[in-house]
Amino acid sequence: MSRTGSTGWLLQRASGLLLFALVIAHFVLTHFMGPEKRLYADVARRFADPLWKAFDLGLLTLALAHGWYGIWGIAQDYLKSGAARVLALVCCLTAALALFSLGAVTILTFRAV
Amino acid sequence: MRRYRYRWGEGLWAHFFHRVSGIALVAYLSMHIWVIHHLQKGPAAYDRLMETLSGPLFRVGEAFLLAAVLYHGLNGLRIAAMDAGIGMRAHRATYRVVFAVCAVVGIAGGIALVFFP
Repeated sequence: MSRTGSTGWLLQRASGLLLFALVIAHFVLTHFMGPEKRLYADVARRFADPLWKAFDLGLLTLALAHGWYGIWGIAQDYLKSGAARVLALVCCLTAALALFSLGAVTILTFRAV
Repeated sequence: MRRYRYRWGEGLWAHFFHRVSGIALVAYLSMHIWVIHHLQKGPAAYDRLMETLSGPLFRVGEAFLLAAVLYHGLNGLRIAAMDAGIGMRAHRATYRVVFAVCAVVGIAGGIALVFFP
């Protein structure tokens, strides 16, 4: 990452633009396409197509990166000491990686029963 | 030590709501990932959980979720546009448009979510 944080700034804008389209598509598909489709069978039908798994994996990655980068940015507004900032960064990275693992395992190991 | 006073205009409200909705969305995303991982527990357990999460309280929560997604997304587009130098002079007007769109679509979508699932 560049010293001034401009790379992070640019990635936050780019991921934000992508998320705007993807999150709204995700919300409309699960809530506003006829009767609610969120039971196990509905998920199984969608996940039978690897493209849907790729879509959800992409959404998971972008949302976690964008979200936790944002939280880290907020933390920097309030934390002045270097040690506290490093600690905040470690916490944000840990949370993002843990949630990514949980989500990725859920998507990739899904086998309909 | 100098004391600062904020001038609560459109710009500060836009920033404040962006921050609050962002934190709320990260909190929701974390819970969402945790809930969906129950797919591993099989159809019966997963569908039972989904039934619990379809109660009236959760549906009202989803209406707020929709409003937060809309606000954070639309205001994010507004920020990205201004970073590119577009709409700087009109930033108060665009904030009002963002807020109005969120209110209207959020309320309409919220009614649909709560009463016509």
